[in-house]
Amino acid sequence: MNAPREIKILITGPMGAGKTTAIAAVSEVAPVKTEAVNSDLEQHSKSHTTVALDYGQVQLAGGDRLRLYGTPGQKRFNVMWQILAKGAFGVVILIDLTRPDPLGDLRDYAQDFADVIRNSSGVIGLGRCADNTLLSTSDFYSVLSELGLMLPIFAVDIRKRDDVLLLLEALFSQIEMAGLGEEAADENDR
Amino acid sequence: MNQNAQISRPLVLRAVQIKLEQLLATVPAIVGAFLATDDGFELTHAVSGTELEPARLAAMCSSMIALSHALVQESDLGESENLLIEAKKGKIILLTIVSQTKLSLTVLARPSATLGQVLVHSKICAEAIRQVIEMN
Repeated sequence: MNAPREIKILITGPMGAGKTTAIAAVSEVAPVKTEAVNSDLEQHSKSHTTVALDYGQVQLAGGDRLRLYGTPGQKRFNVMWQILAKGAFGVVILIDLTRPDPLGDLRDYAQDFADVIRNSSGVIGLGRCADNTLLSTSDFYSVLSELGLMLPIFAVDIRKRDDVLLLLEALFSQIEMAGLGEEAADENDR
Repeated sequence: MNQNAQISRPLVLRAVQIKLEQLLATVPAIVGAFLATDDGFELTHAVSGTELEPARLAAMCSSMIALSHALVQESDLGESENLLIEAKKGKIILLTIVSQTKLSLTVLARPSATLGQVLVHSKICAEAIRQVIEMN
């Protein structure tokens, strides 16, 4: 029997994509949030915005535990991105299809987190798909292939626990297949 | 800039900047100070004899303050007020200013600075800034 593992997962994406909501939807502990009043209403009309991190935990059936770290969305917090990305075994990129340029958003975040994705795994969650029928999943696959990345893409409602779990399971199966989880166990043993 | 529209007016910002300059003049070991919004936008700053990138620092300060707030909440210690960092080559104090909106005052000082002196004068400056904002 392998010892239970602690696996760090990063959840990122542009401002307002639902990173905080997604972690709150699945976490089995009260999530840690770091929200400030949003003064940049041109970027997004929401009242609060994450400025450091969100944190939540999900226990998997086999005893392994996923530690979920949500990043701030805005580029000016990229120092936090680098800090949070250390030791991550997978990245979830959430894209909001009602933003002005969802394909550009995916390109930006996939590039910014390319190192972590290449060394571990990644999955894309498309949100608010019903409100933008002009773009299809294949458009997003094209963006990824331009960047030389092969990642699964799912249309999700991040407010729903099952949808967020779907993204995490997709990530986790990649981690398992690549044997990355074993490294995570080794890290824990050290 | 919505709630911060009031504070962002040039006259108000200039008045705040004068307070920051007074802080630097009163305590020479203080080499820089800036005011920022809770979500990490720099509003105004004053520096002497040092190069700072307040815009970049403001985002990091916002993260630091939010993290210390989360830590304080988890520890059941009420509201987080000030954050003090002692480094090899200086000190950084982050003060929270609560008026119509939450703002932060960040003060950078040389290692020679006396902690008490920097802290006291930074708090006086923070209160003066709060009054400038409330008056306008």
